[in-house]
Amino acid sequence: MKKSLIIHIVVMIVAIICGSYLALHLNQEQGRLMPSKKLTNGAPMLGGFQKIASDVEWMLFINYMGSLKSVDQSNVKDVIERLEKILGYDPNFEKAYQVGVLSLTNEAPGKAVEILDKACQNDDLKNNWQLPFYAGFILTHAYNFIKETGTEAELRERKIQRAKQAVKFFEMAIKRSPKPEQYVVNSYIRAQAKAMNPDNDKMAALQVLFNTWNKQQGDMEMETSIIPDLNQKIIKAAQELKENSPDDPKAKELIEIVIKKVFKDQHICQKCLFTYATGDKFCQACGEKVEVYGVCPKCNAVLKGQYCSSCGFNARPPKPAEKKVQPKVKPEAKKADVKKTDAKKGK
Amino acid sequence: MNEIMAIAEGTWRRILRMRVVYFLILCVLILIASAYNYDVLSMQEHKPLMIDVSLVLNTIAVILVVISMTFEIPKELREGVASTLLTKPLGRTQYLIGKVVGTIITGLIISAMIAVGFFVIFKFAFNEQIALAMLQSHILVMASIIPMSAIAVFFSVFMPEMITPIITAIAIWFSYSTEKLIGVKFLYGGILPDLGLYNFKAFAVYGGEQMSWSYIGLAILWGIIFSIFLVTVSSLIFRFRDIK
Repeated sequence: MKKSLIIHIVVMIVAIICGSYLALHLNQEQGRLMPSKKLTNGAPMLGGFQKIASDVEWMLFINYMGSLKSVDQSNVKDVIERLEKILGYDPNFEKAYQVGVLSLTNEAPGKAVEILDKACQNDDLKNNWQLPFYAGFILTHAYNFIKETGTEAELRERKIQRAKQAVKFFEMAIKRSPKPEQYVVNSYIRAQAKAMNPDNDKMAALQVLFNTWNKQQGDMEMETSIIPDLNQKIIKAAQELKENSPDDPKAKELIEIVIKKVFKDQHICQKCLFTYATGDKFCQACGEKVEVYGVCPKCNAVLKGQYCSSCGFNARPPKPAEKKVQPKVKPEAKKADVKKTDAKKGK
Repeated sequence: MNEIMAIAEGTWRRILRMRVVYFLILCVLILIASAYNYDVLSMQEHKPLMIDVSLVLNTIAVILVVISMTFEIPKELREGVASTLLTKPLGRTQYLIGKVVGTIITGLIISAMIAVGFFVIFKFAFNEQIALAMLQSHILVMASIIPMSAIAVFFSVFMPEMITPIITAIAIWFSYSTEKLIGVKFLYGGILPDLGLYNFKAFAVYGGEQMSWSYIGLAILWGIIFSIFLVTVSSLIFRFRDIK
């Protein structure tokens, strides 16, 4: 009896120790497989049924939203509560972020950004580029429809801060996307411009692009910019700036610097900044007279190769012949020659 | 070993002979299939919903099997069946192990039937291949019966017939939340079970990093170790119990 009791106790102790260590290991492994597990709320009450609870809450939320005319001050709190409940049960619920959070943008943009920011920190959603994009979009657009109180300087400062925050989100969206959409890149540039100078964002946009280009040129490791087709975007920004502020001396100066540095090998119309082709006498975009290039000096036909296809003129005459240089003779070879001549004389 | 298997066989045969069990399995499969009609109400989230519903209903089925077992030991003790059995060359520990094994086999069969039924429904509904994450999650639900049945047997040994199922259900419910006690060494996973280790419902829906089969193997091993601990405790309590 006593022996059996001892065996029972020993088995219990060994099982407790082994079970405890194994459970800890499994818990860690589960955390690695499901990183969002730590973000889940309401675990004690739901006993492992959080996902189904979120599904049920989601369907109730859809029904509730269908009963509303619009999300306004009278119901925004309720909408936030319901949404937070769903996302608390299931932090990976992408549709709840996309549909639910966007319904808050007009009445509670700050809360919408806060929820999206949490989603951006979720490792399970690290490949979703839309969530940071929505956050940036709300920051740059939603506040335009909200009447804010404060002095002009305060409002300006808030605008800059929001733009800076939006830049981070757009940058995250671009980095997460395998091939970033054009509108995401444009939003990123615009947000950077607003953060730099909210009063003249066209000029700031060109400055931002030019700074990026400069950085790219100076980077020894040749790290490519996150903005694709940078040169095209620079010329477009310069065109827009010229169109918007034709008489602004600062804008003119910036455009001149950009054109000289970035497009030094290209032929660009000075009036509309349109790139013109070989043989063009006038800009096809604005009709301005442009400096002709790539034509035969003899007949003015467009050159297609070395010889003019109209008159046979050689547009690239051979360079003047170089002086013939005497091949250097090695000193050892010279010595050998002297020996040979001496030997001949000796004979 | 033969005695243990004889007790286990008696347990699983009795449950699996009941026609109501198959009727309930059919009801579960109808409920799973009905999730397909929630496409509008859930805004095209009916596929994740179906996966989730299948896992939830499978878990509930496993819990019900375990709870049905909690009636058995007190009933056998009350009716004197246990005392008859124990007059034979059968130890009390063997009797308990037999009950646990019987419960596990019953749960595994019922749970496997639900899982297979769900896979067929899913294939028909969405014409998609069954994802590995879904299969693994269902296997883990099946494996969760191992510690659950030990819990049921533990409470059946010393509690009255009427309270045992309720207490067992509460204990299972609580076992999904013991992760909060992870800091308490030997208590977490050693004395208190963490059934959350078998809960991969969100993983089955969203996928993610591939789960290694070693995790499933270790989870089953942990279930066995915990069951050994709890059956040993139950056996100690059972020893001191007076059986009429």
